Amino acid sequence: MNAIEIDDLRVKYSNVEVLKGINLEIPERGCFAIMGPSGCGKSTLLKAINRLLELNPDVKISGDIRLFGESVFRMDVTKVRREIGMVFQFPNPFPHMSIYDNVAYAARCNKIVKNKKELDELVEWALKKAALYDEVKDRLRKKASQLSGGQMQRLCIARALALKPKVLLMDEPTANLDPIASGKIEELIHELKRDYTVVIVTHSPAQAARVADFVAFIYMGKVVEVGDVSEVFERPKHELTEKYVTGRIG
Amino acid sequence: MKYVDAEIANLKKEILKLHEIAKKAVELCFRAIRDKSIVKEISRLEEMSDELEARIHDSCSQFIIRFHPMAKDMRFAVGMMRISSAYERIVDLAQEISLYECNLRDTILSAEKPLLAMFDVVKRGFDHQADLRNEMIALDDAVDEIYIKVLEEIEKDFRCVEEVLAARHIERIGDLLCKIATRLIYIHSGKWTWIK
Repeated sequence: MNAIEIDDLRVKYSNVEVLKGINLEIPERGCFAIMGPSGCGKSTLLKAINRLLELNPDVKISGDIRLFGESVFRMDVTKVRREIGMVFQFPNPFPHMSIYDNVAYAARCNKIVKNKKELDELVEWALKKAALYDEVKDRLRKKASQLSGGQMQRLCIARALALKPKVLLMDEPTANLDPIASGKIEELIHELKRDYTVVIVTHSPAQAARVADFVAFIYMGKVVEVGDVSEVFERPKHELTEKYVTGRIG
Repeated sequence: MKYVDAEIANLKKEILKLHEIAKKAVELCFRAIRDKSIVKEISRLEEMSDELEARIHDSCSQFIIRFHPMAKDMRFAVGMMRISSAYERIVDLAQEISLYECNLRDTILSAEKPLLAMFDVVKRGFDHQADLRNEMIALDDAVDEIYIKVLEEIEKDFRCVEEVLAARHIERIGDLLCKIATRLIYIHSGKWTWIK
């Protein structure tokens, strides 16, 4: 079954059309990478999926996005955001909150636990799932701002996982991390994609090749090529994809 | 990406050197059957091919490590490693043929022409200037026919085991050249096209 289906999605900022009729099917579980050069519309696409674009009054959206068959535009927006977690390029934990509270906050707000014991268990589970627990278990009450960049990003992933989403969107999650921290996030994606549908936006074909099962190449607001990762990177069908993955356009 | 293109051009230059060494070795091995003074020259080519193959493997590994190539660039880097090994093997086979003391029959020697023609087609294939598949099939069929004919002749008139081995090696050289051509087609088009 497809986790996400996108039909003829068009997005306009003022009068500039950024996405020009995107059609995509993102299968359930596994990692789906959206790659393309800067300004091609990949982050816009990601934000459209969990309806973050609607926060901007200048944006016009047409077409449809379905989450497990249900149009996200007809779903309650809170439900959309709960079922589709998002991790951004810059790690953005709540700096004034503790590590524990960063993970617990949304769970508390959404009342997905009944008592303190359940909350403790959920926080521990999410931190473990994000491969962060062992590094922070002795300082859960310390402020999140004391963590390294890579740890902050994994904390954001734990925060998203605490809501038990079905889909996890990641917008260039390693763009601001060093190779070691990036490696840990990529390893984590490999773990998460067994249970979740992970959609990652990246401008790095090498990263897409390392973490994804399927990849879509977007250029100037259009999907140029979609396919199995080994096909797209070894034998791309479209000349533009060939040029992009070999670094001859960007 | 000029620096990537420059690396690819350097690698191509190296593999073409190996191509010429392999061709020379095959050419000389037929002459060595009649003139053993040439054996030394083939041994020298064999050493050169070993060194060059190792160098090409190293350069390809470096290319992959440094540039993380994809698509055609990746097919090229991996393909060059395989192709260089095939050339090195051809030189080994040519050297073995050159060492045979038995006076090989003319039917075996007649394989020289189609084999050298296969080298020329492959060389043009590096620059997409050949209908690699069809030209190679025709030439390899000619080599195979010679091989079968030699075996039939040996059955009637056995002279020495070395003739059987030489015929087998010649057929194998043809196969290896077809494998190189198959790789080249894959590098250029991304499609596997079987020649044999």
